[in-house]
Amino acid sequence: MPINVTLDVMLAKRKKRAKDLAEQIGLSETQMSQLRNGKVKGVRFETISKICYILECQPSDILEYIVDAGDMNTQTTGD
Amino acid sequence: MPTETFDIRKQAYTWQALSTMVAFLLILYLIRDRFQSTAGIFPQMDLVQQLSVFFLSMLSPIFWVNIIAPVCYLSVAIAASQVFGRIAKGDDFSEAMIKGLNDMGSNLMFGACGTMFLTPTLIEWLNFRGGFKFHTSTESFIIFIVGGALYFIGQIGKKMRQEIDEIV
Repeated sequence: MPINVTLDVMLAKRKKRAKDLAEQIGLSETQMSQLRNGKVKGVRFETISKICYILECQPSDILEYIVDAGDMNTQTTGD
Repeated sequence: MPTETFDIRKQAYTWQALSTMVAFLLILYLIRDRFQSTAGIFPQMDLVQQLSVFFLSMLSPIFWVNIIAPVCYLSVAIAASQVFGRIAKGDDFSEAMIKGLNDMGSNLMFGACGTMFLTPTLIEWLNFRGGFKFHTSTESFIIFIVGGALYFIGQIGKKMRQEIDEIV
């Protein structure tokens, strides 16, 4: 799934530390590290909202999609 | 919804109490049943003598073979009580709850297998008759299937838990 988490870029722009952001939005440092490295299966809207509020940005500033035709072949949960 | 959650928790408390009571009654029933089928066959004896017979019968493997299925069912009641306790405390499909469901499922299956196959066969072997004996009944089959269903629900719950944990 080619979704890139570009949170690090935004953190650098806002001169914020990942540890502080994790603390503010109520994530553990491990979860934050997994999120920054794109090693999570999903991100809750609630988490995105909190990040966007604190970093004063839009979801598109922390997530980017790279087009991949193979995405259509992946099974969606709930089908 | 908070009201709904409260209702579930309240119901879980009731079910916890009920399953604890069932577990307690099962223990009493098991002791009474074993006592009756060992010391109970000597009604002319006084209580002390009957108790001696009862404790002596524990030395026989048949005594233990006969309690395989009831002990499994007792474990189900205890595991159910723990699962309901977790729900009552507000647990949300936690690791402990999944383990409880797995325990309930596997013990139901073991219990049904014990009733249908294990106990009759072992008794035959202990009586030096050998071979395999089946004591099938619709109830035991249904218990076995329900046990399997619970076990699989537990496994699916485990998988779902892992997926949820990977969502931040």
